[in-house]
Amino acid sequence: MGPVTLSKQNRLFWLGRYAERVYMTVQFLMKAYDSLLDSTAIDYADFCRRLGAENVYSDAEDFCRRYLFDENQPCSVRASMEALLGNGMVLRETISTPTLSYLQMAESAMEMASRSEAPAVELQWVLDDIMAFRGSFDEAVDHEGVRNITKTGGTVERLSLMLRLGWQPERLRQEMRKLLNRLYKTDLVTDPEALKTITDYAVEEADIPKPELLRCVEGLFVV
Amino acid sequence: MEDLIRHAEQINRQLARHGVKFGIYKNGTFEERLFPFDAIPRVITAAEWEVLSRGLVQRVRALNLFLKDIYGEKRILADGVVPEEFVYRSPGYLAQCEGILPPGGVYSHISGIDLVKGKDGVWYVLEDNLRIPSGASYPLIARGLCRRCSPETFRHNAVMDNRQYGDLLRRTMDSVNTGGINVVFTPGRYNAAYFEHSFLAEQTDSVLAEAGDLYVRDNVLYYRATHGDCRVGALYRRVSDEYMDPLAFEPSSLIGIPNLMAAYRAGNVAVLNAFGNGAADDKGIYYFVPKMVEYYLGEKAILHNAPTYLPFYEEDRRYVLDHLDSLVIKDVAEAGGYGVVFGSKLSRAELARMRDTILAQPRRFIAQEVIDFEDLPIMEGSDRVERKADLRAFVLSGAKDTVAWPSGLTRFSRNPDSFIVNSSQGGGFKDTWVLSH
Repeated sequence: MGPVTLSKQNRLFWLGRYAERVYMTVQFLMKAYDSLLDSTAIDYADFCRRLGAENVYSDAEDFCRRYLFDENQPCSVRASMEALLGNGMVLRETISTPTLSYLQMAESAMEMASRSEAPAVELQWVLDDIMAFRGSFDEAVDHEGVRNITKTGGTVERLSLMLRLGWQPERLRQEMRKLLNRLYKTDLVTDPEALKTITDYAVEEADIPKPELLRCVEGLFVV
Repeated sequence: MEDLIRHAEQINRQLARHGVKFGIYKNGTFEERLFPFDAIPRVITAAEWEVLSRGLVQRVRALNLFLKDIYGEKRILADGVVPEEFVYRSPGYLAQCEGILPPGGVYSHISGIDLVKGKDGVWYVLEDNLRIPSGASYPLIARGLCRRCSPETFRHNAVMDNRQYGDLLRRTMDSVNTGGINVVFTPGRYNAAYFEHSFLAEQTDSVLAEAGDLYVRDNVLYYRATHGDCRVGALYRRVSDEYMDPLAFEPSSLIGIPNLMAAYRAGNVAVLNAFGNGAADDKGIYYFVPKMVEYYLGEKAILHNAPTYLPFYEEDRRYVLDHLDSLVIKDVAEAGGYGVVFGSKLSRAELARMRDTILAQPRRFIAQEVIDFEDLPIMEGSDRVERKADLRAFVLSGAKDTVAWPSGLTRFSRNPDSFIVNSSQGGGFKDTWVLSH
């Protein structure tokens, strides 16, 4: 593992963020898709609002399909998958060709899912490939600091989605403590105010409004 | 071999999994395509390779000496072996390189020599690529995947291993390194050969860098790292000369490194391949390579050029104009299969226009006899068909030695009526086997 530039640090961080975004959103949408089979209503407009995505969908079915696969929508999972693969491609010499191949496979599975009448089967491959990517990444990247940049990116994305989707405080605090433990194993530059707020919430169990927490999580790292 | 062909689909799936692609700009949009792979390899016997590799090494040694000479003493010009104007009017000649001796005295570290095998069994060199020849990564990765998909094939055939290319390249970089890290320098993600740039960085354990990652201070090249900047000792650049340093070459370049030329001139960084190599792989200069071999090495050239005529010389011009309809005309300023015209395919009016253009700009063209080169079998669905194919052989030159890589990129035309094998024009590739005995 050679030296790391700021631009590479940024790519590693976003590699983790996009991997988590694809992973969590696919899981969420697979559940939503399943609910539709029983004609259970899903509040996709609320989902879009929470994630800051434009609601351009005609109905729940349209939402499930296009939020997953419409590559022209910048918020779609497909677009995140492309960004994930794109970040991986510019990091090949750091993460290794075998690790990158799992992202290529995840992207291919996503493409196949988009053409399938039963997309959940292929989407399961997307999740499997991302898990394999994480395992391979852990094996291939010797430098702990580098590994932790990507893992930190993943935790930040998870927290961001958890906050937006209204997860329980205990679960949030648990995840934030993980983030704080990992923080010192990276060279990432942090915003002191955001760090204090997150520490107060996670460790001191201070009562902090979620929008404020979200702002701190998103602005914690200067990358 | 049949076992390998049976596994062709599996191999192509593996290539897709590993993102073996090349980029192409179509209607202004960047697209990445899988590089179609045909499982039937080109086979070169041990005896054939013995001659071919000696010829390749000989040719590249002569070309390196030529570059050293024209940017230095200019003996070959003074002795009238190569006319001055073929050097100085070549777009690849860079006056900025005058008097610079690169680290280790090597100019072309990675040379891609394009050859075809005639139906007479003779190998002909079609072109020397001494600037940034691409393609080694494709047979390199394909070999590993073929071995995985069809181990039996490699158990029963004595094929020389080609997977040491990364080590060879790294040794080449190390041998000219002036002290510091090795860097592969890419124009970025949207370059046609980006797969190769990133793959070779991985294979050589180098750092992959783009323009913003590198800077020059006090005539030394540095890589901008978070733990303090690192000195760069060898820069394997995959960017054309003109974009490498906006202060020395094209001022509008945003993908270069300002002042790199100053660091290079000071001898503080090795640039692979050196600047100004275009003066030696110009299609016009090609004509003179066998003469260079004799001039510098005192040996007869082992490899043949395709029979070539220079309209620049009156006698050749007369021949070219008289036989225009049977020759292939190449514009010396073009590359990648562009600017190649087969006289037999031109209408009467087009031939007349070509004749006028040659008369007006004789230095701009070379003309070659059409070599009836060997077809190679490829699989088209379940059918075995014959297609035109060439070979790009790679020769690596370090400070101490020059070696030919026992493999190469065999490219084939997928169009039955075409001689053009370039990937940018729809061609595919094969592995190239060199048998060990």
